[in-house]
Amino acid sequence: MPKKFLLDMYVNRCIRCEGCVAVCKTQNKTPEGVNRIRVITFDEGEPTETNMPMPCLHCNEPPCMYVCPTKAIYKRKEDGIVLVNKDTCIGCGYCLMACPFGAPQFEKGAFGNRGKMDKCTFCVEPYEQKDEQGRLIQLEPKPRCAMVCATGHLLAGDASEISAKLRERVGYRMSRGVEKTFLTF
Amino acid sequence: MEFPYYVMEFPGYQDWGWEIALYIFLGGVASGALITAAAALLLGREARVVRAGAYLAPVLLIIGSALLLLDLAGIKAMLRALLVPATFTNLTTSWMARGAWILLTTLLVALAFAYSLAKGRRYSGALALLALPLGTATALYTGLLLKGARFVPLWNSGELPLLFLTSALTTGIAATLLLASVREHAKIRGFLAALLVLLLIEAVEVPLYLLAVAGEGGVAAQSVAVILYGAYSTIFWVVLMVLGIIIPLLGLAYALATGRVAPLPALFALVLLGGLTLRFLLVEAATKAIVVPII
Repeated sequence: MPKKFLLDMYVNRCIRCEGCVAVCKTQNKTPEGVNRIRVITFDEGEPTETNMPMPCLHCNEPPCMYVCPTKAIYKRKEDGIVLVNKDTCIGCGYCLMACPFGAPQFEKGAFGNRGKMDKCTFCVEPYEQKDEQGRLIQLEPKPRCAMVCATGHLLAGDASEISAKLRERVGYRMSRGVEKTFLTF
Repeated sequence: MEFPYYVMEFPGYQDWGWEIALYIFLGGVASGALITAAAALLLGREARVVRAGAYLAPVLLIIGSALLLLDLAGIKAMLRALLVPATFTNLTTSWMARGAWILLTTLLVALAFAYSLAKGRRYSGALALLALPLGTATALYTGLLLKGARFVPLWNSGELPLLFLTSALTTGIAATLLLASVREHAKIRGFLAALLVLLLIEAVEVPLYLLAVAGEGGVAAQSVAVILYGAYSTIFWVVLMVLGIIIPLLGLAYALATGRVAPLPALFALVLLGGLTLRFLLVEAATKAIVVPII
């Protein structure tokens, strides 16, 4: 089952608390200048002001994977998570020019230019937890950004589950006659 | 389906800079020079033109490849890209991987062509026949490389490879003739006429390309606006259009009509300046479009 991020586009819930950014930094210990998730703001200071967290959305057909010359970017078969192999990445920056969401980030490389690519991994490093018999359980990946999201704007998990959740929300609002408030342009 | 676009500078957003722009220029000049030399050899024209083009092409290709390597992550990545043939494996979808092999083949053929000319012209006819399609492929691939970056709307047009091919041919002919410095007008008349026609095509192609891209709207139109009447407008109109295309056009027409050769080196230098400006403008003014995911 493909894992996905889903943003609640029906009603804008993001309040730009930047909790996702902070928890991603502490969880993944990314170097300076690398932000695996960012919050972007449209129309700042206007009535239509809109915030949106922007992680890698783990596309079904990732443009970054298609343009990568060394096959360093790959999509995992079992859960559809797009990952980068840093051993074969040469830091050419082609993925950056192809990604529609600005997801590829770059560490500092030699001579002060861009280094190797770093991107959201959907927090695949598993939690380690012991059960009663002392056996190690590896839980399925749960992105911390979605876990800390205070307003439930950013959803993460199995594509079918989270889209069902979102459909439920939208149905509830429509039944109450709530108009669409987000992204009417 | 239409995407709403949003332009934003991310922290640590490190897009392609002067290395890539200069490489695209040098690769274009090299492929143009290679095509000029091969065509001159096959048509039996002036030997100095053949030698100038054949010696210029591998040198420029090596400098350009070095610039490409300089843009990579670090020493290890550079060595990997240079020495490990299994690096550029994504030949099915990536124009950078295809281009790396095209560039390597062209460089080898250009070196062999130059060597055969230096050592008494054995096999140079066959190598010239090989060099013609390879030079064209190198010039076209730089355009396809930029076109492959789908979310830079300024580059996302099928006409970009053709524009780069035209510019590669004009700058290649100009560089070759500048280096050959043939003083007799009759010997290079054919090349001058070809350069004149190609410059005419380029003079139409550059504005048409920008207008066609601007027709897409959104970020593409913004990028074109920056070039046509924004921050880069002086460079575009004065350096590229007037100095790089129109003055060489008029000068070449004058030189062809009167048979004078004195102003030619200056005109060739201006053509090279125009080609360099075109590449830098297209790379620097390229704003990336961030797409808002809508469900």
